[in-house]
Amino acid sequence: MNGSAPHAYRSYTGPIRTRAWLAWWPITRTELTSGMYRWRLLPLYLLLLAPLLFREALLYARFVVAEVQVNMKAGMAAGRMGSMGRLLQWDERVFYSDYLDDRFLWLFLLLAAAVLGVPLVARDLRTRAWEIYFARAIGRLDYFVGKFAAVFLVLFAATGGGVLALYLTTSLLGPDPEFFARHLGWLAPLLTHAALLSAVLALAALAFGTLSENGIVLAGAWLGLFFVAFCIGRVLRHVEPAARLDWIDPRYLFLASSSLLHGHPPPAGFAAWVGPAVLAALSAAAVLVLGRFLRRQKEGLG
Amino acid sequence: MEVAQATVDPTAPVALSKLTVHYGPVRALEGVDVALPCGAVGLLGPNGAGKSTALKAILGFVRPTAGRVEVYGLDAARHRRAVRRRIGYLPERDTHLTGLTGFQAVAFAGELSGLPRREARLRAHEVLQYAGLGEARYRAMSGYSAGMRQRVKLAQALVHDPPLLFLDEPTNGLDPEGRQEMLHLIRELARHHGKDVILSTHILHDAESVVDWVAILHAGRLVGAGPIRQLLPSPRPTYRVGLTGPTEAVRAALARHGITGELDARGEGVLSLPEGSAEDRLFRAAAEAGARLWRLKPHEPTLEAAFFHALDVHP
Repeated sequence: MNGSAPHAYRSYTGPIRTRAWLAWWPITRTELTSGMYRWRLLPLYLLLLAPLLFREALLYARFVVAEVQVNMKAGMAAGRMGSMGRLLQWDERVFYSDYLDDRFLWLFLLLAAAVLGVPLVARDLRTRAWEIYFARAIGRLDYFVGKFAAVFLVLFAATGGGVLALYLTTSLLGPDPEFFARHLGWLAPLLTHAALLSAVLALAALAFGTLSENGIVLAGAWLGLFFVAFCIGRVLRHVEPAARLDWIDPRYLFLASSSLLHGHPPPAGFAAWVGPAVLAALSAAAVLVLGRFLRRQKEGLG
Repeated sequence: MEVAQATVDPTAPVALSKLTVHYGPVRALEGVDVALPCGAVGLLGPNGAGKSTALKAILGFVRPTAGRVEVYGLDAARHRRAVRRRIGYLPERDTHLTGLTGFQAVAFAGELSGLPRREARLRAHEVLQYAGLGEARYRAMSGYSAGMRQRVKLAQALVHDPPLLFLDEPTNGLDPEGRQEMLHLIRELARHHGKDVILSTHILHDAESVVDWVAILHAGRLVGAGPIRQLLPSPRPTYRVGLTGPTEAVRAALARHGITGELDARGEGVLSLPEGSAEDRLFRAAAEAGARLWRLKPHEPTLEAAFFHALDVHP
């Protein structure tokens, strides 16, 4: 092979763990640290950071303009500077709404779930990695928990972690000393919502990944389905506003965060249950698909 | 044909008892009843004989339609995890984990088998070195040749030091030198490191150089099991001979002395003597026929002969 001298075989006398409840963890850790996962994570992180970088650049520009305004002593309102001025009036609340809400983060979550979550099982089907996993002392549940956790942790780190990081940095470093106290009430619901969304999307992405061995096609189909739903939702909103058929818009998944960030009262009536209902339906569908897959794949599973 | 019974040897690493596996209307295995002994055992049979299904049933990948599988006395259906801890499996097909180096893949297999992370990493280095992968273990597996992947698979099977190894076509994709090295490693594991090895292969020469005991499957049924020598068509002394003389006279003399076998046009062939007789019977037959016996060499039993005899096929 490579000409290396063969070494003597040594028997293993060390410990063997038999704690079944931790059997899934090596799968999660290996997924998170594998070269392929890192390669996929990099562009996603860049995408996630892009608005933050944009915000920092904008805040810096605003600072510079303010300095200029002071120096000119002209009392020029930013509004009189045209579109540039309007952009500079973009305040913290608008940023949080845009960044954490339906303008950006829902798209990021769907994209991340497509890139990271959908190909996980499809790839193992294609490379027959099943035989490596299930010749070992792990079961089907360990396998899926391990894969699920690998997707969930990334999605939640990007959303919940992002919310927390923004909240803390703005509180500690921002110009508003009251920010921490005034917005403390947002934090728990936002984190809960981020966890719930990440869990449902991770589950759905895994289930979707069992439909074929071609992860790229599946990821494209996943994004395509949500895009079609988004378009239909937008059209219905304008065509028949009273009928409330726009719930098909996947942004409804983010309704709770949306109302919080816009400072709206908590959703009531139709809007109160549509988000959780869609999430529950998505979860149920994912569980059904996974269950069907496991029954069909008895051969090769533990 | 003598077939080892499953229930008679409680110390057998693997005992199949009336094992039946059906995939819908397809009968992959039908009432297979065999106890595989310690040491190196060959699981042989033509394509579709049920070898892979038997391995999958032992590993617990498929649920038997009827019958049971015991591994070191443990019921494979009820103690799936405990059974798998005792087994190292080298799959036939190209299976790999994308995005990992050879070292990472073996350490990962060790962790899946229950080794603590640090131990799994140390052990991965050891078994990869043993399998002959050397420094290539730090490269991504996507760049490995088929032979290198076979070595990684062997290391994955060995990483948790199981007492029983299932090797499904371990020499697939190896060049002649690599093939010899792999067979040497398997022999060494079985003979010097106390491993019980079940070798599933269609290359009879590979099996012959490693195993002493075989189980032969055909169309889902066990058609032969036992030491290779016992599976031969007959225990009669057999010789490879060269015999030149009048053809008809030679045939008549051989028949008179109860010697069977075929000679080709040049007078060469394999002849079997009656049980208990010595080679002087051949000399006498040659003398009676006025023929010259110019070659006489004991014909060693071959696995191929046993295989075709069990299948009732005469190549």
